[in-house]
Amino acid sequence: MESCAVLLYHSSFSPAAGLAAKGRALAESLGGRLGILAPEDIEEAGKIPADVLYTLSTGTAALLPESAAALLQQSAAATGAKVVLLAATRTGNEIAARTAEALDAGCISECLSLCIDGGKLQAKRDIYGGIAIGCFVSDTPVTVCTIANGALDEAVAGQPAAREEMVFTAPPVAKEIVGSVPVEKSINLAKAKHIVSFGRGLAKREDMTMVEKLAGAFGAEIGCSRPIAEELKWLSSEHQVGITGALVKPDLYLALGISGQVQHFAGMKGSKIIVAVNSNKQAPIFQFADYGIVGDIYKVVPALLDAMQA
Amino acid sequence: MHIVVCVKHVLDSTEIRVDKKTGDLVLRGIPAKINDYDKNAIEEAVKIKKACGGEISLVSIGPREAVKTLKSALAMGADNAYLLSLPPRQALDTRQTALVLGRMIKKLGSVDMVLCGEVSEDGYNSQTGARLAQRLGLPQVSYVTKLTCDGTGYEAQRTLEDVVETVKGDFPVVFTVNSGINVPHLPTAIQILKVRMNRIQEWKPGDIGLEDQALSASAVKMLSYEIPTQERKNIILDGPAEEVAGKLWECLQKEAV
Repeated sequence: MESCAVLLYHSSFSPAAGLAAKGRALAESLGGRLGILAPEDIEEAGKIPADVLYTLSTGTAALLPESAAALLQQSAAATGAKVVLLAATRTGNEIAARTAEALDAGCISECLSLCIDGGKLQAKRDIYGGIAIGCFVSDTPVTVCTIANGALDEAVAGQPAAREEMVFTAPPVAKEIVGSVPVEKSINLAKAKHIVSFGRGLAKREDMTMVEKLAGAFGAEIGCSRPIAEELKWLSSEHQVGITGALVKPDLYLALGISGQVQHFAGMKGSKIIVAVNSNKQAPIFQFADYGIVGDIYKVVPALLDAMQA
Repeated sequence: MHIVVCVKHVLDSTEIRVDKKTGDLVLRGIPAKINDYDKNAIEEAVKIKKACGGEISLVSIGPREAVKTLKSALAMGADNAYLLSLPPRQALDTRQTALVLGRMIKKLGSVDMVLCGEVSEDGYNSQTGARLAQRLGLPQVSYVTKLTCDGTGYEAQRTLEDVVETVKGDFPVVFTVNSGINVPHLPTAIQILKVRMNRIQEWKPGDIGLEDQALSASAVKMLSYEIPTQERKNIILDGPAEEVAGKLWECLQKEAV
């Protein structure tokens, strides 16, 4: 394989279009070329501006994460790549960690930004769920990174890369995918402009009608904190806002009876205006609210509905 | 069936805050506890043990204080626990973590299944399960939201961003479970107190064939951190509900959101 300094991995489960700008900048710092490895979805991969697009001589195949890691290990060694980049999708993170282990390499997941300093890769990422941003350095000859969803760049058009076929035989993996069903999504919180979200402050499931009324008045989608979706199961997980749920950035985020733990904060900190209603004056959510009301949601919500109708 | 569950003793992330004067994170004196996501892994192991029989071993790395976490994990229904004890405040990176956990699991002998939570609430690296699987040379099913097992194999549902996959295979295997997979039955204080300390074995690096030095060379180090500025108005409205609701609505109209 021809050499490259930075290798992007592209598949339908971890698309690489948003990695190209960061990959290019790193490749320039390292004085090398930018390559894309695409075992499948080659047409999409071909639209990503890079110097070389590696495909498989055996044709296209959706690889299991185990095989993808074996392919990346082999390719990183053959191209002399110093940095391997993937999108921080669930599958992307899994492949990245496996590849790093196979290469005995450092791995930094969910990166917000990256650079080369003194020949070493440095990356910034959230720590403790986003209270702080840590700057990390990798000391291994090759480093595997995944780029956080919110830090992906706009896809840019460019010269199609030269194609090179490579030989790879996927190793046998003792598991089999026997079914694949699209997740039925009724809402897309990540794109919502207004979100009314609630947490443990809501006492009963039936009281969700009050939340629904307020959401209706704002033309908002309904979100919730982790316990509501995972423990009480009052709403499906697609309504859950937080680091393991949806990362949202609406114009208005109205948090009802949500204490605002780190895991929730990380999911909604990108909101333009944050309003919090909570009966506990000490609730952390007030620290990062634009407007905070210390009060009972059962009194404040009906009053707010009245005010909006007045 | 021998099931191993990886358990992490973590700082309670909900208690971490920023010192307003110095701008530093306050990490000292923060209570530590079991990683929330690992409770789901233990709960699932207990369910599988009930259905298929077998034994549950817990493995953990941390300061001696992590015994507290292991006691609560044992009280959830696990059988034995093994702690690789480190000096206080020594933290391992993900490569070292996989190295140590891999050695610990090898020392336990024949293992059918390794369960991990999908992420730890301190680092949020999401690497340990996959690194460990690679190190042990095992297949992995990640983000598992439903699991059924018999004596020789499993069928697992894994939930990705846009698709739910069903995966089948034989043991041995590594699973990382999503927190939606079950609702953990948390032990009572009395149940935790009743856990006998002789069910927890403490190992030193030498016990798994590692020199102390092997744990000083990290692949990834944190150089520094910064506190992102959240420019929020922090306007607190106080008073009777009608009054504050009215004020809030006025403000929101001005914000034009």
